[in-house]
Amino acid sequence: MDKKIEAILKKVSKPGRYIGGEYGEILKNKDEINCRWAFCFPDTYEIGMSNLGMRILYGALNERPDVWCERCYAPWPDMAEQMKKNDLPLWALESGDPVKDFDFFAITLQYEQCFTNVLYVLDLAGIPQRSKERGEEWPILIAGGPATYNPEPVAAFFDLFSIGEGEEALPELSDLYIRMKKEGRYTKESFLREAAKLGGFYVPSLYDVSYNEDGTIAAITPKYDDVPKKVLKRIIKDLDKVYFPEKPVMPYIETVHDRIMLETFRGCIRGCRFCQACMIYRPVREKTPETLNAQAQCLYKHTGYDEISLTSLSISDYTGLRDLTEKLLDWTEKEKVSLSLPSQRVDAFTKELMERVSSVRQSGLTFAPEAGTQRLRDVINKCVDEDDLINACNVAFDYGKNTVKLYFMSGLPTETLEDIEGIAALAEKVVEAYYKNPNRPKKPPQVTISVSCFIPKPFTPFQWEAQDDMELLMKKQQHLKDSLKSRHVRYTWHDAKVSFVEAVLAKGNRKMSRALEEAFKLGAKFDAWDEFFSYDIWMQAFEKAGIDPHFYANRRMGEDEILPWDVIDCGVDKRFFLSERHKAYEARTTGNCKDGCAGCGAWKMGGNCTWCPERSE
Amino acid sequence: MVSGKIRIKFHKIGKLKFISHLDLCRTLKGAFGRAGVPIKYSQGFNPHPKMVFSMPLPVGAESVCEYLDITLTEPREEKELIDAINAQLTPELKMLEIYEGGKDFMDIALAEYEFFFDDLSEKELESRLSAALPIVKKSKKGMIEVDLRPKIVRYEITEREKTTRFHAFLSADSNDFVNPELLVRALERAGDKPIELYSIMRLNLYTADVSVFR
Ligand code: B12
Ligand code: SF4
Ligand code: SF4
Repeated sequence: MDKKIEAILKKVSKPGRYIGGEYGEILKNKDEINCRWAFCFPDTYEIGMSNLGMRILYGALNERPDVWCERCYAPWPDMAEQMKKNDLPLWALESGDPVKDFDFFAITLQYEQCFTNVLYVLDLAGIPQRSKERGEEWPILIAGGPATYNPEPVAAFFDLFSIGEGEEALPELSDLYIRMKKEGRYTKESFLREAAKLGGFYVPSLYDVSYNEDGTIAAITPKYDDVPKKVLKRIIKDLDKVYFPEKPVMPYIETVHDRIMLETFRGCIRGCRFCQACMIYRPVREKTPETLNAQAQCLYKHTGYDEISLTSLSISDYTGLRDLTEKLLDWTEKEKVSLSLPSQRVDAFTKELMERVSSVRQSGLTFAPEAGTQRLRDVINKCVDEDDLINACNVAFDYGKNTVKLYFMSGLPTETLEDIEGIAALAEKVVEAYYKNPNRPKKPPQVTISVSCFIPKPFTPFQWEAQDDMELLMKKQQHLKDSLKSRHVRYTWHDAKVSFVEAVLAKGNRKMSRALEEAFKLGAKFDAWDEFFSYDIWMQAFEKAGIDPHFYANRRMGEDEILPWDVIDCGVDKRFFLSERHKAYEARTTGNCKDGCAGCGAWKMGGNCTWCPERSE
Repeated sequence: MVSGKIRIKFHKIGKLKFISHLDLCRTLKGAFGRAGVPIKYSQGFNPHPKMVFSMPLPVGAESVCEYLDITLTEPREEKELIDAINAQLTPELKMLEIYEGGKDFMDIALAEYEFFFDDLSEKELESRLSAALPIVKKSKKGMIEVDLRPKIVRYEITEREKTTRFHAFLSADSNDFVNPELLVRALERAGDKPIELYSIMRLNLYTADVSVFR
């Protein structure tokens, strides 16, 4: 190990983040490699190592003998300071080589608050931030992940974006790169042009964006005829057959999800109208219990973890859930491995789950009714009612629980103060139910309500909506406080300022890149961390960049307006979003895919979909 | 064949010196699990494999003489056991020997270290060792000052190509253990320049009669 690096590792917190060398890490001989990837999760090692997507893509790229993919994460500011002081540019963990010398530098974007960390890691890597400033000598900068469905705010920084699932796209891109280099016809420009034709790749430099006088978009125009007008996301057609990492890298230091993550399916059948994840991961594709059980056994053998977490957006909708838990419990009980289900929907919370799944037994219960009144729950298409919630709570009380945590959102479209009062009323009904339950434990109940602010997100029926302005959000916050009477109800509220900035970034267009640069220059980084987020920095940055943040967050967009993200096609039709929006205003719900296809359009992506109708023309 | 309570000698070198004790425990637990070591678990609400270590090793220091006691629930062949565990680890954390009936950890009295300094010359080091080396330590009575100099039982200094080798035997009594990292900090305070480029390697442990501990 380099002596300078050793010396600084002795000075920083958690040096184990920066050493690599873990069991399961993939090392290769550089001489046999034609294409080198540095894959970065722009947050700490502990968070990044918990991301399944990066784990999958790391393995998928390394399947090829002539490609080597390495990892890197965002160094904590104390480390960043030392790296700068000692002239050590960001390196990849496996080889220790600076990432600026790689062929590709890939960054996964999971949510908007990590946008400034893109600039932060580029700065530490010594790579010019704007793609225009990078010539042939620099790595090709590519991003993917859920927050790239609206790539425009960070379009100035990346050479290209991979929209949708990357398991097949990234190896294809490597192929193209290696082929063009071999044939001697590689230039960055020609490569990007070819990549745009592979499907699922958005190359921002190949599009012109023009604006109307009012700041809305006039047109998004491809510069050449062979560049697709819209970039359709990629999906994996059959999740049973796609590459899956069975020998993950085993971190030495403790990470957020230090356990086996068994991804049961992608997409969600529910269609809550505020939910972006539901839409962008559609259509729903399940893995079979057989595949999952085999993968779990293999993972157990290779990791020795004593916990398996079944993941997906809404685990209780997995059709094979009973079959799978049975198969798993067959051997996990013997091996002292526990099962956990991360998120629960109230209508699916049963006695059986309570008994069989240890995580449910051990931890407190969390439910997400999201809105306080049935009317508003209908508006957002959260199809649970009060009885579902009370029933679920009673199951928990029967088993000796006295704490329940309820998640809500404030600022939802059509919300009134009555809906806010409904949140308080619902919490108090839970308290009431507790005292009515003869089996309750001999402790006072504690109901926590956690209220976040609604953020309109691209590719949802609410993408056109305006966020409530801060004054109104605060007023609602106070109103809820005043409405709460029971001393058994605790109340926490998310910072409206954070949500405001998130909304601006989520709905931003290309002009936002300047604001990001200004924010970074003013010191913004790790914006998802309370200790770093600074509202003042953001307001200054917007001003310096000549951006009115309210134009993005608090303005209702026109239905015929060209949206910044219209250049991306997430598979679900814009028409469907529109009709869902209109139904929302009439408080009419839409059934889930299980009850019958709602016609979202995702079926045309093809693949082994669990609920979509057969393609019939 | 070994069975019952066994001792494992291992090394923790290279990058692995930056892994804390807690993370080392987790790593070993995982490796033992994957290797199918029939290790005895503690009783109680949250059972975990019982592991007892010889002596703390500060983060940043390497060692080729770490010891760990575990209890097997079934007998195992030594070499097979070592190979099985090492197959689940990287070379910088490696099991070296497995045997029954080691000496009591309480008998450890002395530890042998090799320090390399890049920013401290032979002469400079000698002169710093000629005076007291006070450090402030937490004790039951609050913060107290301790002189580390008398706890350096024997040493030898050589210099080669601008690197100073400091070969030292430090007190390692269970209630008078010298933390080698703190010794470097004390040496640093004895001068006016920071000591940044250095390494620490623990080579061997000894009992009070200066026979090698194992
Ligand atoms: C595990 C998890 C975590 C873990 C680990 C971090 C992480 N992001 O993975 C922890 C607990 C730390 C976490 C924290 C948070 N999370 Co989280 N998390 C998840 C979860 C459950 C699974 C992620 C995952 O592994 N998905 C499976 C993999 C296979 O999908 P993927 O990551 O999208 O990767 C695929 C593609 O996107 C693509 N791809 C991804 N990256 C790249 C990069 C390149 C270059 C390319 C080409 C392709 C590509 O290829 C991959 C394979 O197909 C998702 C929900 C879900 N089920 O998806 C939420 C989710 C990602 N989290 C979310 C949120 C909001 C957060 C938090 C902000 C919550 C909070 N308020 O604190 C924090 C932020 C911390 C952080 N830095 O991410 C949201 C993001 C929504 C959004 N985009 O706005 C999600 C979608 C949940 C939701 N329903 O809202 N999270
Ligand atoms: S249940 Fe609703 S909120 Fe949860 S993932 Fe599905 S659509 Fe989104
Ligand atoms: S096409 Fe129909 S079944 Fe398929 S995801 Fe959309 S609504 Fe559900």
